[in-house]
Amino acid sequence: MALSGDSNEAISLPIMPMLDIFSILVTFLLMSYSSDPISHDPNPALTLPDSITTVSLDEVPAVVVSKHEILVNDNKVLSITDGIDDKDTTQGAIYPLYQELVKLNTTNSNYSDAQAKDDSKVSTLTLEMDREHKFELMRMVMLSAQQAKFVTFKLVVSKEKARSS
Amino acid sequence: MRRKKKQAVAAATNVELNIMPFIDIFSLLNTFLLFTAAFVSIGLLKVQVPYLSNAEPDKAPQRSLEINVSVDSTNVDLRTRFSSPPYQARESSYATTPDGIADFHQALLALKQDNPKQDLVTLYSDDGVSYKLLVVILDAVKVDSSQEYDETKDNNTLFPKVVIGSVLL
Repeated sequence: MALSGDSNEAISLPIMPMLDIFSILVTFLLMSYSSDPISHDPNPALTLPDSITTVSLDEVPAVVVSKHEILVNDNKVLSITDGIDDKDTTQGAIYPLYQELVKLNTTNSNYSDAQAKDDSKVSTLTLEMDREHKFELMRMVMLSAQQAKFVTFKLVVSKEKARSS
Repeated sequence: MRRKKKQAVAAATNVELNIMPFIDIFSLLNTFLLFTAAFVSIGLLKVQVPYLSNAEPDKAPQRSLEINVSVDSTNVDLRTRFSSPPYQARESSYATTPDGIADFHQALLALKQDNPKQDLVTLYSDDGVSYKLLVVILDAVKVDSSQEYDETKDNNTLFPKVVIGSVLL
Protein backbone atom coordinates (compact mmCIF):
# COMPACT_ATOMS: atom_id res chain seq x y z
CA MET A 1 0.00 0.00 0.00
CA ALA A 2 1.23 3.46 -0.82
CA LEU A 3 -0.14 6.81 0.21
CA SER A 4 -0.28 9.66 -2.22
CA GLY A 5 1.40 12.80 -0.93
CA ASP A 6 -1.49 15.24 -1.10
CA SER A 7 -4.77 13.49 -0.55
CA ASN A 8 -3.75 10.62 1.78
CA GLU A 9 -5.79 8.45 -0.56
CA ALA A 10 -4.94 4.75 -0.43
CA ILE A 11 -3.71 3.27 -3.71
CA SER A 12 -3.86 -0.50 -3.99
CA LEU A 13 -1.84 -2.58 -6.42
CA PRO A 14 -4.10 -4.91 -8.45
CA ILE A 15 -2.68 -8.32 -7.65
CA MET A 16 -5.50 -10.41 -9.08
CA PRO A 17 -3.89 -10.68 -12.59
CA MET A 18 -0.67 -11.82 -10.94
CA LEU A 19 -2.61 -14.43 -8.97
CA ASP A 20 -4.27 -15.60 -12.19
CA ILE A 21 -0.87 -16.02 -13.85
CA PHE A 22 0.49 -17.87 -10.81
CA SER A 23 -2.52 -20.19 -10.75
CA ILE A 24 -2.18 -21.02 -14.44
CA LEU A 25 1.59 -21.56 -14.11
CA VAL A 26 1.20 -23.83 -11.07
CA THR A 27 -1.52 -25.83 -12.81
CA PHE A 28 0.63 -26.23 -15.94
CA LEU A 29 3.72 -27.25 -13.96
CA LEU A 30 1.77 -29.73 -11.84
CA MET A 31 0.18 -31.27 -14.94
CA SER A 32 3.51 -31.58 -16.77
CA TYR A 33 5.38 -32.75 -13.69
CA SER A 34 7.23 -35.89 -14.66
CA SER A 35 6.19 -39.06 -12.87
CA ASP A 36 9.23 -40.96 -14.14
CA PRO A 37 10.98 -42.92 -11.39
CA ILE A 38 14.29 -41.16 -12.04
CA SER A 39 14.92 -37.58 -13.01
CA HIS A 40 18.08 -37.24 -15.05
CA ASP A 41 19.51 -34.37 -17.04
CA PRO A 42 21.29 -35.60 -20.17
CA ASN A 43 24.92 -34.59 -20.63
CA PRO A 44 24.88 -31.09 -22.21
CA ALA A 45 27.58 -32.13 -24.71
CA LEU A 46 25.29 -34.56 -26.51
CA THR A 47 21.91 -34.77 -28.20
CA LEU A 48 19.81 -37.84 -27.53
CA PRO A 49 18.06 -39.60 -30.41
CA ASP A 50 14.26 -39.38 -30.50
CA SER A 51 12.28 -42.53 -29.84
CA ILE A 52 8.64 -43.53 -29.47
CA THR A 53 9.47 -45.97 -26.69
CA THR A 54 7.19 -45.93 -23.67
CA VAL A 55 9.75 -47.40 -21.28
CA SER A 56 10.98 -44.84 -18.76
CA LEU A 57 14.49 -44.36 -17.47
CA ASP A 58 15.02 -46.47 -14.35
CA GLU A 59 18.67 -45.83 -13.55
CA VAL A 60 21.23 -43.13 -14.18
CA PRO A 61 23.42 -43.89 -17.22
CA ALA A 62 26.80 -45.38 -16.31
CA VAL A 63 28.46 -44.82 -19.68
CA VAL A 64 28.10 -41.52 -21.50
CA VAL A 65 29.47 -41.09 -25.02
CA SER A 66 29.28 -37.37 -25.72
CA LYS A 67 30.44 -35.64 -28.90
CA HIS A 68 34.04 -35.43 -27.66
CA GLU A 69 34.62 -37.93 -24.85
CA ILE A 70 33.64 -41.17 -23.18
CA LEU A 71 32.72 -41.02 -19.50
CA VAL A 72 32.07 -43.77 -16.98
CA ASN A 73 30.14 -42.57 -13.93
CA ASP A 74 31.01 -38.96 -14.87
CA ASN A 75 34.76 -39.70 -14.96
CA LYS A 76 36.44 -39.06 -18.30
CA VAL A 77 37.91 -42.24 -19.74
CA LEU A 78 38.90 -41.21 -23.23
CA SER A 79 38.79 -38.25 -25.61
CA ILE A 80 37.25 -39.09 -28.99
CA THR A 81 37.57 -35.67 -30.60
CA ASP A 82 40.10 -37.00 -33.13
CA GLY A 83 38.70 -40.51 -33.24
CA ILE A 84 40.04 -43.44 -31.25
CA ASP A 85 43.76 -44.05 -31.33
CA ASP A 86 44.90 -47.56 -32.31
CA LYS A 87 46.90 -47.81 -29.07
CA ASP A 88 43.61 -47.56 -27.12
CA THR A 89 41.99 -50.49 -28.91
CA THR A 90 42.40 -54.20 -28.32
CA GLN A 91 40.54 -56.81 -30.35
CA GLY A 92 38.02 -54.21 -31.50
CA ALA A 93 37.31 -52.98 -27.96
CA ILE A 94 38.33 -49.72 -26.28
CA TYR A 95 40.83 -50.84 -23.65
CA PRO A 96 40.56 -47.90 -21.14
CA LEU A 97 36.77 -48.25 -21.25
CA TYR A 98 37.02 -52.01 -20.78
CA GLN A 99 39.22 -51.49 -17.68
CA GLU A 100 36.75 -49.03 -16.16
CA LEU A 101 33.81 -51.33 -16.87
CA VAL A 102 35.56 -54.28 -15.25
CA LYS A 103 36.00 -52.13 -12.12
CA LEU A 104 32.34 -51.08 -12.32
CA ASN A 105 31.14 -54.67 -12.69
CA THR A 106 33.30 -55.76 -9.75
CA THR A 107 31.85 -52.96 -7.62
CA ASN A 108 28.31 -53.88 -8.68
CA SER A 109 28.95 -57.56 -7.96
CA ASN A 110 30.07 -56.72 -4.42
CA TYR A 111 26.58 -55.35 -3.77
CA SER A 112 24.87 -58.40 -5.20
CA ASP A 113 25.25 -61.73 -3.45
CA ALA A 114 23.86 -63.65 -6.41
CA GLN A 115 26.44 -62.18 -8.76
CA ALA A 116 29.25 -62.67 -6.29
CA LYS A 117 28.45 -66.39 -6.08
CA ASP A 118 28.16 -66.86 -9.82
CA ASP A 119 31.09 -65.34 -11.67
CA SER A 120 29.55 -66.10 -15.06
CA LYS A 121 26.52 -63.89 -14.34
CA VAL A 122 26.11 -61.04 -16.82
CA SER A 123 25.05 -57.48 -16.13
CA THR A 124 23.10 -54.61 -17.63
CA LEU A 125 24.63 -51.30 -18.64
CA THR A 126 22.82 -48.02 -19.27
CA LEU A 127 24.34 -46.16 -22.20
CA GLU A 128 23.79 -42.51 -23.11
CA MET A 129 25.19 -41.60 -26.51
CA ASP A 130 25.11 -38.69 -28.93
CA ARG A 131 22.76 -39.34 -31.83
CA GLU A 132 25.27 -38.34 -34.52
CA HIS A 133 27.78 -41.05 -33.63
CA LYS A 134 28.18 -43.95 -36.03
CA PHE A 135 27.50 -47.58 -35.24
CA GLU A 136 31.25 -48.24 -35.51
CA LEU A 137 31.81 -46.40 -32.21
CA MET A 138 28.73 -47.95 -30.63
CA ARG A 139 30.01 -51.41 -31.60
CA MET A 140 33.37 -50.72 -29.97
CA VAL A 141 31.68 -49.49 -26.78
CA MET A 142 29.38 -52.52 -26.71
CA LEU A 143 32.25 -54.90 -27.38
CA SER A 144 34.25 -53.35 -24.51
CA ALA A 145 31.23 -53.77 -22.25
CA GLN A 146 30.59 -57.30 -23.47
CA GLN A 147 34.14 -58.29 -22.57
CA ALA A 148 33.52 -56.81 -19.11
CA LYS A 149 30.41 -59.07 -18.86
CA PHE A 150 27.76 -56.46 -19.65
CA VAL A 151 25.55 -58.01 -22.31
CA THR A 152 22.27 -56.18 -21.89
CA PHE A 153 22.18 -52.50 -22.76
CA LYS A 154 19.62 -49.85 -21.95
CA LEU A 155 19.98 -47.16 -24.60
CA VAL A 156 18.94 -43.75 -23.29
CA VAL A 157 16.67 -41.90 -25.72
CA SER A 158 14.51 -38.82 -25.77
CA LYS A 159 10.86 -39.80 -25.67
CA GLU A 160 8.59 -38.37 -28.32
CA LYS A 161 5.01 -39.12 -29.28
CA ALA A 162 4.36 -41.80 -31.90
CA ARG A 163 5.37 -40.69 -35.39
CA SER A 164 2.47 -39.84 -37.65
CA SER A 165 3.80 -42.07 -40.41
CA MET B 1 -26.11 -2.04 22.55
CA ARG B 2 -27.24 -0.41 19.32
CA ARG B 3 -23.90 1.44 19.06
CA LYS B 4 -22.00 -1.84 19.41
CA LYS B 5 -24.09 -3.38 16.64
CA LYS B 6 -23.36 -0.43 14.35
CA GLN B 7 -19.62 -0.77 15.05
CA ALA B 8 -19.75 -4.49 14.24
CA VAL B 9 -21.56 -3.87 10.95
CA ALA B 10 -19.03 -1.16 10.00
CA ALA B 11 -16.15 -3.48 10.83
CA ALA B 12 -17.71 -6.28 8.79
CA THR B 13 -17.96 -4.11 5.71
CA ASN B 14 -14.22 -3.29 5.93
CA VAL B 15 -13.07 -6.93 6.08
CA GLU B 16 -10.32 -7.74 3.56
CA LEU B 17 -9.05 -11.18 2.83
CA ASN B 18 -5.32 -11.38 3.57
CA ILE B 19 -3.97 -13.02 0.45
CA MET B 20 -0.28 -12.42 1.10
CA PRO B 21 0.32 -15.91 2.64
CA PHE B 22 -1.49 -17.36 -0.36
CA ILE B 23 0.84 -15.49 -2.74
CA ASP B 24 3.85 -16.60 -0.70
CA ILE B 25 2.85 -20.25 -1.03
CA PHE B 26 2.23 -19.86 -4.75
CA SER B 27 5.63 -18.22 -5.23
CA LEU B 28 7.43 -20.99 -3.37
CA LEU B 29 5.48 -23.70 -5.20
CA ASN B 30 6.24 -22.06 -8.55
CA THR B 31 9.95 -21.79 -7.76
CA PHE B 32 10.12 -25.42 -6.63
CA LEU B 33 8.23 -26.71 -9.67
CA LEU B 34 10.28 -24.66 -12.12
CA PHE B 35 13.56 -25.89 -10.62
CA THR B 36 12.54 -29.55 -10.51
CA ALA B 37 10.61 -29.72 -13.78
CA ALA B 38 12.02 -32.14 -16.34
CA PHE B 39 11.13 -30.74 -19.72
CA VAL B 40 12.86 -33.57 -21.60
CA SER B 41 11.25 -36.93 -21.02
CA ILE B 42 13.82 -39.69 -21.16
CA GLY B 43 13.14 -43.26 -22.22
CA LEU B 44 14.98 -46.52 -22.70
CA LEU B 45 15.44 -49.08 -25.45
CA LYS B 46 16.73 -52.42 -24.22
CA VAL B 47 19.02 -54.43 -26.50
CA GLN B 48 21.41 -57.32 -26.05
CA VAL B 49 24.68 -58.43 -27.55
CA PRO B 50 25.50 -62.09 -28.19
CA TYR B 51 27.52 -63.89 -25.54
CA LEU B 52 28.69 -67.38 -24.80
CA SER B 53 26.70 -69.16 -22.15
CA ASN B 54 27.40 -72.48 -20.45
CA ALA B 55 23.67 -73.15 -20.10
CA GLU B 56 22.51 -76.48 -21.51
CA PRO B 57 20.96 -76.27 -24.98
CA ASP B 58 17.35 -77.31 -25.50
CA LYS B 59 17.11 -81.09 -25.89
CA ALA B 60 14.31 -80.88 -28.41
CA PRO B 61 14.50 -77.48 -30.09
CA GLN B 62 11.18 -76.47 -31.61
CA ARG B 63 10.79 -75.19 -35.13
CA SER B 64 10.89 -71.43 -34.79
CA LEU B 65 11.11 -68.41 -37.05
CA GLU B 66 14.43 -66.60 -37.26
CA ILE B 67 14.11 -62.90 -38.04
CA ASN B 68 17.21 -61.02 -39.17
CA VAL B 69 17.29 -57.31 -39.91
CA SER B 70 20.28 -55.78 -41.71
CA VAL B 71 20.66 -52.01 -41.78
CA ASP B 72 22.87 -49.77 -43.87
CA SER B 73 22.59 -46.04 -44.49
CA THR B 74 20.06 -46.39 -47.30
CA ASN B 75 18.29 -49.75 -46.85
CA VAL B 76 16.79 -52.06 -44.26
CA ASP B 77 16.70 -55.72 -45.25
CA LEU B 78 14.31 -58.12 -43.56
CA ARG B 79 15.15 -61.82 -43.82
CA THR B 80 13.09 -64.61 -42.29
CA ARG B 81 13.48 -68.36 -42.30
CA PHE B 82 12.42 -71.22 -40.10
CA SER B 83 15.00 -73.07 -38.04
CA SER B 84 14.14 -76.45 -39.60
CA PRO B 85 12.73 -77.59 -42.96
CA PRO B 86 10.70 -76.38 -44.72
CA TYR B 87 12.73 -73.17 -44.23
CA GLN B 88 10.40 -70.88 -46.19
CA ALA B 89 13.12 -68.24 -46.45
CA ARG B 90 11.91 -64.77 -47.40
CA GLU B 91 13.68 -61.50 -47.98
CA SER B 92 12.47 -57.97 -48.49
CA SER B 93 14.18 -54.61 -48.64
CA TYR B 94 12.99 -51.16 -47.56
CA ALA B 95 14.43 -47.68 -47.88
CA THR B 96 15.48 -45.83 -44.72
CA THR B 97 13.02 -43.04 -45.51
CA PRO B 98 9.99 -42.48 -43.23
CA ASP B 99 7.74 -44.24 -45.77
CA GLY B 100 10.17 -47.14 -46.16
CA ILE B 101 10.44 -47.59 -42.41
CA ALA B 102 6.65 -47.47 -42.09
CA ASP B 103 6.43 -50.30 -44.68
CA PHE B 104 9.13 -52.21 -42.80
CA HIS B 105 7.12 -51.82 -39.57
CA GLN B 106 3.97 -53.07 -41.33
CA ALA B 107 5.90 -56.15 -42.52
CA LEU B 108 7.00 -56.80 -38.94
CA LEU B 109 3.42 -56.39 -37.70
CA ALA B 110 2.29 -59.00 -40.24
CA LEU B 111 5.09 -61.34 -39.10
CA LYS B 112 4.04 -60.94 -35.48
CA GLN B 113 0.43 -61.62 -36.37
CA ASP B 114 1.43 -64.89 -38.08
CA ASN B 115 3.92 -65.85 -35.34
CA PRO B 116 2.60 -64.39 -32.08
CA LYS B 117 5.05 -66.33 -29.88
CA GLN B 118 8.10 -65.03 -31.72
CA ASP B 119 9.81 -62.33 -29.66
CA LEU B 120 13.42 -62.25 -30.89
CA VAL B 121 14.96 -60.22 -33.72
CA THR B 122 18.65 -60.20 -34.59
CA LEU B 123 19.88 -56.86 -35.90
CA TYR B 124 22.97 -56.40 -38.05
CA SER B 125 24.18 -52.90 -38.73
CA ASP B 126 26.71 -51.38 -41.08
CA ASP B 127 29.49 -49.39 -39.33
CA GLY B 128 28.45 -46.20 -41.13
CA VAL B 129 24.87 -46.20 -39.81
CA SER B 130 24.15 -43.32 -37.44
CA TYR B 131 22.88 -44.01 -33.94
CA LYS B 132 19.87 -41.81 -34.76
CA LEU B 133 18.83 -44.10 -37.62
CA LEU B 134 19.50 -47.20 -35.54
CA VAL B 135 17.08 -45.94 -32.87
CA VAL B 136 14.40 -45.37 -35.54
CA ILE B 137 14.89 -48.98 -36.72
CA LEU B 138 14.79 -50.22 -33.11
CA ASP B 139 11.51 -48.34 -32.61
CA ALA B 140 10.06 -50.01 -35.70
CA VAL B 141 11.12 -53.43 -34.35
CA LYS B 142 10.20 -53.00 -30.71
CA VAL B 143 7.20 -50.68 -30.47
CA ASP B 144 3.83 -52.03 -31.56
CA SER B 145 2.07 -49.07 -33.16
CA SER B 146 -1.11 -51.08 -33.78
CA GLN B 147 -1.93 -51.14 -30.07
CA GLU B 148 -3.29 -48.18 -28.18
CA TYR B 149 -0.78 -47.39 -25.45
CA ASP B 150 -1.95 -48.33 -21.98
CA GLU B 151 0.63 -47.64 -19.29
CA THR B 152 -0.95 -50.23 -16.97
CA LYS B 153 -0.25 -53.01 -19.47
CA ASP B 154 2.92 -54.09 -21.24
CA ASN B 155 1.08 -54.46 -24.53
CA ASN B 156 3.00 -52.12 -26.78
CA THR B 157 6.03 -54.26 -27.51
CA LEU B 158 6.26 -55.97 -30.88
CA PHE B 159 9.55 -57.88 -30.63
CA PRO B 160 10.91 -57.14 -27.14
CA LYS B 161 14.19 -59.03 -27.55
CA VAL B 162 16.62 -57.42 -29.96
CA VAL B 163 20.13 -58.84 -30.27
CA ILE B 164 22.71 -56.65 -31.99
CA GLY B 165 24.45 -59.43 -33.89
CA SER B 166 27.06 -57.30 -35.61
CA VAL B 167 28.81 -56.42 -32.34
CA LEU B 168 30.68 -59.71 -32.49
CA LEU B 169 30.53 -60.57 -36.17
